[in-house]
Amino acid sequence: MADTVLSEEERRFIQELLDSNETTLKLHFGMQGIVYETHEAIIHERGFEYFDEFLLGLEKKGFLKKTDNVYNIFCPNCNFPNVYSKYSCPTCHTTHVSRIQLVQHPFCGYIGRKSQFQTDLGLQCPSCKTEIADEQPSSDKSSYKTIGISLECENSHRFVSPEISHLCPNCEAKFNDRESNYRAIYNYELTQKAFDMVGNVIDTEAAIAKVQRLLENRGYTTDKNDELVGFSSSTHVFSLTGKKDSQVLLFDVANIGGNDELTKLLGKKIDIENSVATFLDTKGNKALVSLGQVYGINIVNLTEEKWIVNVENWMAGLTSNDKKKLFDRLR
Amino acid sequence: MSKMEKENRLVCFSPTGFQRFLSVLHRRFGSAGDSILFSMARDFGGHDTKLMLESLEQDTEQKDEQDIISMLLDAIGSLGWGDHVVDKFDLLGGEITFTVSDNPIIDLCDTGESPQCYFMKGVLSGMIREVTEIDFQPSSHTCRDENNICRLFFTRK
Repeated sequence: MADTVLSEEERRFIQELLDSNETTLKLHFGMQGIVYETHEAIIHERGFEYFDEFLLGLEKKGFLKKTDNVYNIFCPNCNFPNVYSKYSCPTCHTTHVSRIQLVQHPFCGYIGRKSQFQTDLGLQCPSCKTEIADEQPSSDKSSYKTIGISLECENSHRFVSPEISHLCPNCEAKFNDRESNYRAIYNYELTQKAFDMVGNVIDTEAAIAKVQRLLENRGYTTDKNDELVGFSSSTHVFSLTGKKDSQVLLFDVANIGGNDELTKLLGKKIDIENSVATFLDTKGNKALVSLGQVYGINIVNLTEEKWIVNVENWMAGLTSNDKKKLFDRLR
Repeated sequence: MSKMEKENRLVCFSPTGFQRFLSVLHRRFGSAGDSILFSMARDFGGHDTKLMLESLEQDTEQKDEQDIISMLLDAIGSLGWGDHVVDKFDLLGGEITFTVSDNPIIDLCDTGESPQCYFMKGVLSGMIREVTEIDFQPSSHTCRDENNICRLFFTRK
């Protein structure tokens, strides 16, 4: 059975699609080559191959569904998706091939490139030197007839159907249709499973307001979306802060519920003096609890009915710690 | 390899590689990444200063803190970290400022919203603390001018 657990990056990606109401991923051929619309930046930064595999991984896990496909030529050497094509000679394989217009002078029967008929004085048959007025009915002495378009290589081989070779601008590999990595790439849409992932939407505003009231009842000055400048001089934004005396309580709400968001809170917390932090987890991600212990950050699972008790207990613990510190100092 | 050889061994990064290595923190963790970088650099700056002070022990006996810091900055500069000059060194007033030209990782400061080099700030903050035993905090002023000269301001905490 395929692993259906999402990585942090996959979880964030799905969440961002849902947040932006983007339920489909569509391929687009543009000036920058082949990309998925609105995801040009990640493709530019990490490569199409990476993003393609990333999407296939999500499809295997059931969060994306293939809708339709297009076939694309990839470089067999480096998998670069935007190769360009050249005609080559079927005889000597050179890619120095030009397109020529073949014409005939019906009067003498001479056949040659139209450029051979062109002189400073106008058109003239290179064989019988008859001056030619224009393309007219073939019975006229001064007329010529267009036979067709042909290709000619630098070694004078003429042919109608060229070989097609491809060149990779990324690694400069040259390859033909048999050697190319020619395969399907897909358009996708989000599945019900992806929508279900965020089905139980927590009202984070209400949760923050509840914590804010609790803090104010205990004498803290509070600020929502507070910007604090840390010791490093970097400015950090917190969902909610509570300040009393020299102590600063920091609260962040999880948008995705992943480890990175908790690590962000840790990074900000270490920069703010006398601070303690609580992470309000909207997704009930159990893995965060043990990580929170390592980071010294309290994790509150907002999917639990009595989550506010956790915050109350945590704050009670802070008060008793303060008393203990004061007692230690006095002793 | 002896312990001394291990301690004296140098590991080199290209400026571009080092910047890419560090800029991941900002890209992935935003302002938290900046403070993690600052914290790492501060510890690194303190540790390296301690080692350098031990090796310069005799040379630093008769010197004041500003001279010692200038010596350390010269040593850092000789390793390719640019030309550092102490512009102001007022321990009583609580102000220290540096000018850094030819900073090899100057592009790193473009990863944030405004030009700020948390790595350089961290290293210098760690160095100041190790030499003066006083905590100096970097200011949040933009520290790069149009000529790519970095001016770093520190105030006593």
